[in-house]
Amino acid sequence: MNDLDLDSDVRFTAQRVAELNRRVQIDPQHKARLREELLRRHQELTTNKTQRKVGMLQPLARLKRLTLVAPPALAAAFVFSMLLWSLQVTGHQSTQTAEAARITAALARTVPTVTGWQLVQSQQQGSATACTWKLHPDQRLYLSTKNRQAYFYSHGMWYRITTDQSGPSCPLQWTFAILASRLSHAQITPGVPIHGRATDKIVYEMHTGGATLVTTAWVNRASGLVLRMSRVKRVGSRTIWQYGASYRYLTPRSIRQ
Amino acid sequence: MEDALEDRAFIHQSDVEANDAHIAEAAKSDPRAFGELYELYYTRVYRYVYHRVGNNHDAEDITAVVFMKALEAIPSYQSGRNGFAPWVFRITRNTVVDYYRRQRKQDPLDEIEHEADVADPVSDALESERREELHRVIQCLSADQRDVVLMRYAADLTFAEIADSMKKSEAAVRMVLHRGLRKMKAVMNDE
Repeated sequence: MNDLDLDSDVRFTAQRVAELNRRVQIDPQHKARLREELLRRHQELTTNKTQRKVGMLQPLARLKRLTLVAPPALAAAFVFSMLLWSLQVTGHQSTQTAEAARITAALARTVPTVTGWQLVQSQQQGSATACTWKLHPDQRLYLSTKNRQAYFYSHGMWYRITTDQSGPSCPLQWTFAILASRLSHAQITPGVPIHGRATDKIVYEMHTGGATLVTTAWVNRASGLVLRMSRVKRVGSRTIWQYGASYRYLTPRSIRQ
Repeated sequence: MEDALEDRAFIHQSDVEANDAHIAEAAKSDPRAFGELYELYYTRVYRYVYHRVGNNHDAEDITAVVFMKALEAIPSYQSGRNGFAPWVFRITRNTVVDYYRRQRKQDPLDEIEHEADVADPVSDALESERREELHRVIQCLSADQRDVVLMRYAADLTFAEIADSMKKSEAAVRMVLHRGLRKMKAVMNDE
């Protein structure tokens, strides 16, 4: 790039603008996928020139369905639905590793990439207690109300959360992950805004030994991140115990502070 | 994610013209040649589009549409003095215009759905900073100034290529760029 012919008074501005422009990050996965699609389409057009006019709208339409029209979460759900059965929370990955790698690449791009978050749980009845638990920076937890699944991403592998997840020392650490497996029975209604974000409120009840357990989660409608959760045990009209938890999602900058 | 910090290799203008024209002609029938064009222009198109629309999700979609249109239209491509760049960037600019027309008719629900793409607090914070700084200054430019600045510094086009793409003279393009940079300087408060 030769901008030596620019006046000196704007040359620094030009350099700065050029530098800002170059900081644009490119997703190599998208680039590679688009290339595949284009070359495949080119092959179709080259081998069947007579159908060129008919075929013109199809790749554009398909591309639109998956990208321009469909929201990112739906695009992810489309990928999910193909081989999701192969990913288990126990860590046994599907033998179709190539497909799993493709799903991993798609999911890593489309799902929220929270690199660190803290869970602070406080018991609201009786003695106040609190526990704090941090995910490792390479771990992420994602809950989708669209396809009613929860996923855990850890060190390059994706896992689907099932009810087989063992209980942790902090009861609400994984409750919202197990919650996802119960979404088929849950009531989902618009929730109150939390931190300015529109939420969905998910409520499900369990009846056991004369007691009722009511779990309520407030989920960021756009991202699926759980923002707040409560759990109440009642016998008749009497509250036995209740827990509440707020979830904060921290950026690396916040963590370093 | 790949950080597109690579500089364009120093290539003589005549080499660019020869390479682009040669490859573009071959791309009419050879998928591999089209693949080469794609590799040469993806980053440049993407960067231009990104700074026009302000988010990587839409930028990826629009970039995909640009290359699909280029693929469909390449049989009618006629190599000019300035190679493939002016042609593909005419498509790019028109595609961005179409995007804005579509935005005006967009269902509000789509905007909520797209929000999921910026729910990543890390990328969101970093992208916001970049977007804000450059967008703040680009907003003050006229449409021509914005196009010239972005084609020059985001897409790395030469003055000849920009002129060909915008159907202006090179002298006019240089003048537009100068005025745009002066305006940006005033906004950015450069010393």
